[in-house]
Amino acid sequence: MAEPVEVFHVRKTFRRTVALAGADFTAGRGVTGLLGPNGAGKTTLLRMLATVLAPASGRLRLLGLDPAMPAERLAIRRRLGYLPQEPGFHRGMTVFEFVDYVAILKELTDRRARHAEVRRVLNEVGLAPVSGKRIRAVSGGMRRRVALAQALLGEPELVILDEPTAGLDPELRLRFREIVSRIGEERTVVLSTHQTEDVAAVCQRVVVLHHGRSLFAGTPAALIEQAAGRVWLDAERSPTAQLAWRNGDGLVRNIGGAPAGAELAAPTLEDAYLLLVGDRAMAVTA
Amino acid sequence: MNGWHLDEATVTRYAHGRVTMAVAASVEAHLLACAPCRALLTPAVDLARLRSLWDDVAERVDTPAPGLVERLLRLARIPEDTSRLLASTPSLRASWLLALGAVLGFAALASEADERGTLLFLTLAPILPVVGVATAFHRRLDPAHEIGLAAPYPAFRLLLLRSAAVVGVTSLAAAGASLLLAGPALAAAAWLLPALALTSLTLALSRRFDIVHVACGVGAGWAAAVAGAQIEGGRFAAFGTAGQLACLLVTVASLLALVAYRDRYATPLGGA
Amino acid sequence: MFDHDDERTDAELLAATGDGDRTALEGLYVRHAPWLLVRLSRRCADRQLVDEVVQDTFVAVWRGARRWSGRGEVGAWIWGIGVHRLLDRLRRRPPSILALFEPSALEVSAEEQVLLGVQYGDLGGALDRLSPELRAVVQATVLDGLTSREAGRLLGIPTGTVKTRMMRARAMLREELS
Repeated sequence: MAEPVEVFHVRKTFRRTVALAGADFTAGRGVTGLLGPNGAGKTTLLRMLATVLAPASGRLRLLGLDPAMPAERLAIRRRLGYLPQEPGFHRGMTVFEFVDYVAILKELTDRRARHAEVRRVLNEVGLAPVSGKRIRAVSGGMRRRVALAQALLGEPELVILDEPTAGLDPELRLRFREIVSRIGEERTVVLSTHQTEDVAAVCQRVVVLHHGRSLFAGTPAALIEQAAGRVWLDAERSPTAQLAWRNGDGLVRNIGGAPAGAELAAPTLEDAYLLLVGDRAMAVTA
Repeated sequence: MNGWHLDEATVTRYAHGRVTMAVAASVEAHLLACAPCRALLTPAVDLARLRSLWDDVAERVDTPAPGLVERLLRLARIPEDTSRLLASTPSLRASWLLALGAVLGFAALASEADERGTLLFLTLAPILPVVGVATAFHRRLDPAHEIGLAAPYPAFRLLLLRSAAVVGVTSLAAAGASLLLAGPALAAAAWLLPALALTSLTLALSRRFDIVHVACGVGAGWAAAVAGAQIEGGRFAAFGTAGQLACLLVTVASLLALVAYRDRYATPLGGA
Repeated sequence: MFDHDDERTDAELLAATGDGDRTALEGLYVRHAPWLLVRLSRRCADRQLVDEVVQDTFVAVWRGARRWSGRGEVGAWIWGIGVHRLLDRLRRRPPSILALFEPSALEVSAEEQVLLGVQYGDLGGALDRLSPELRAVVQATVLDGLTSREAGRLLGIPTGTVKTRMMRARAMLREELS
C-alpha cells in the first residue's frame, strides 16, 4: 500500500544554486517534520509536494498520483492544503473575505456551503472572534492562523505547512502545535521547521534535510538513538567534542566522540540533529 | 430595579400572551434593564426557531459586502463566485481604475491641442490593458499568488477571465475617453484592434517568460512600430488598414497559441 | 448555543461587535433575541414577518454597533432598532394582517399586581380598563416610544386617528385617576 507522499531522488537547481540534490523520503498519516537549516532545500521540496514546482529529475508520487500529469495534478490539488512560507494577503479584505476568496479558488461554488466551510476552518484555528476584521488590522500571529485556516479548507487529505511557526512567540507556537497535532490525527501533514522542539512535540516522523539531501528519515526516537553515548557533560569544553556550549547550570554540554569515563547525558532531539548537520546548523537553532 | 425581580410564572404567562396589556408593558419595561429576568424568558421561547434565525443572521453578517466592481459584475449576470474572483484582481481596484481614467482623460484632452495629441492617445490606449494584465498576474503584486498556485481552480480559466475583465474595463474607459478626441470619428476606434493584439500577445508569451518582462517588451515594440510606420506612411500609418490587419493577425495567432498550450498554464507563469 | 453565556457585559459585547467580533454578536443574540422575539410578536401577529424583523435587527446591530452612544441600556437600544425595523417591513406590506393579542377575561395574579404597582402604580389597572383600540395606541406611543405617524403605520390606522385616540385615552385615564 503506497504512502500518501513518496519522494524519490528529486533534484532541482535554480540558476547556479543546487536546491535539491537527490532527496528522498516518504510520509504517511500523521505529522512528518522536515528539519534542516536555512538553505537546506525545505521550501523547494515543500513547493514540489504542493504541486507548485516540478522537480528537474526524480519521481514524486502524491496520494498515489503523479503531479507531472495535468489531470492527476488537478486531482491532487483538490485534496491538498498548502501554507506557503510567506503567505500573502489582500490586506483590505476581512479575515472571512480572504478565506472565502481562497475557498472559491478551491472550487467551492455554492455560497452557503462555502460560507459554512469558511466558518468551520476559522473556528478550527480559533479566529471566529475576528472574522469581521480587516487583515491589516490583526496581529502577525493571527495572520499566520488565517493562512493556516485556508490550508484546511475542504478537509484536505494532504496538508503542507512551510515553517508555520517561524517568528511566532512561544504561546502562539504552542497553539499551532496543538492545532497541527489535531489535524495530523486524520490526515497526512508535512511541515518544515528549523526548530527541533516543534518536531519533538508533534511529529511522528522526521526527515533531516541538509544541502538538498535527506540525511535521516525515521521516527524522532530513532534519531535520538543516533546520539546515544555521544552527549556528555563536563566542566569545560572537551577536545573531542564536535560542538559544545555552556548550559544554564554552568556545565558544558558536549556532543561528538565521548572520551572514556565521561559523564553521559540523555540525548535530546536537538543533540542528534546537531550531530547530523554539524556547525552550520548551530547558528540558526540557538 | 435593584433587588426586585419578576417571578417565573408571570414571565411564562407573558411569553404565552396570557397577561393583560398593563402587566405585559410592565414586564417589558423590566426586561429591558434586568439581565437575570431575561434569562427566565429563554426556556419559554422556541429555541429551534431562534437557532434557525441565527443561522440566517450569521450568513448575512459574514457574507462580505460586495464592492462597486463586484456589484457591476453581478448586474451583468456573472455568477457570484466568478464575480468575487474578478473583483479581487489587483488591476480592477478603484485606485487602478482612477489612474486609468486620469491617464486616458489627459491623453484625450491633449488631442485638442493638435494631431500629436491624438497620436499619443491612440498609442497609449492599447498599452494600458497590457499593463493591467501584467499587474493582475505578476507574482509580487498578487498577494495570494502562491496559495492560488496550489489551488485546483483552473489557472487558464482564471487567466482568461481576468484578462477579459481587464481588457473590457480598459476598453470601456478608452471608449469613453475617445469621445473627447478631436478629429475624425473613426479615429476613436482605431486603438481597439491594437489593444486586443498587444494583450493576447502578452498572454501568449507569458507562458515562457516573466509577464512583466513580456509586457515591457510588447509595449516598447508597439511604440517602436508606431514610430517606425510614421517614416513610411505619415503620422497615423500604424492605424491604417494595413496596420489594423496586422493587429488582427497577431490577435488570432496569439489566441490560437493560448488555446493550444492551455494546459501549460497550470504551473507558474514564466516558469518560476 | 443557548447553554452557555458569554461572560462579558452587554456594553462590552456591543463594543466588541463594533470591532468585528462575531462571537460577541452571538453573545448579544443569545441574551436579547428571546425577549425581542416575544415582544415583537405582541405587536405583530405575522410570524414570518417577526422572524424577518429579528434577523434585520441583529444585522443592523452588527452594522451599527459603533454608533451606540454608550449610554443607557443596550436592551433599550436594541428595542429601538427592532421596532423601527418592524415599521420598515410593514411599510412594504399592507398592514391589514395585524392583530394584537387580546385574550379576554384575564385575571391578574398577586405577583402581577405587585409588578403593576412597581412599574405603574395606580395607572396599571386603569390602563387595562381602556378599550383595546385605545390601549393599542397608548402602548405604541407611550410604551414603545413611537411618533403618532409611526404608531399609525404599526397599527394600520391614519395618523389623525392615532392622535384622537390618544386624547381620549388620556382623558379617560385622567378621569379614572382623579
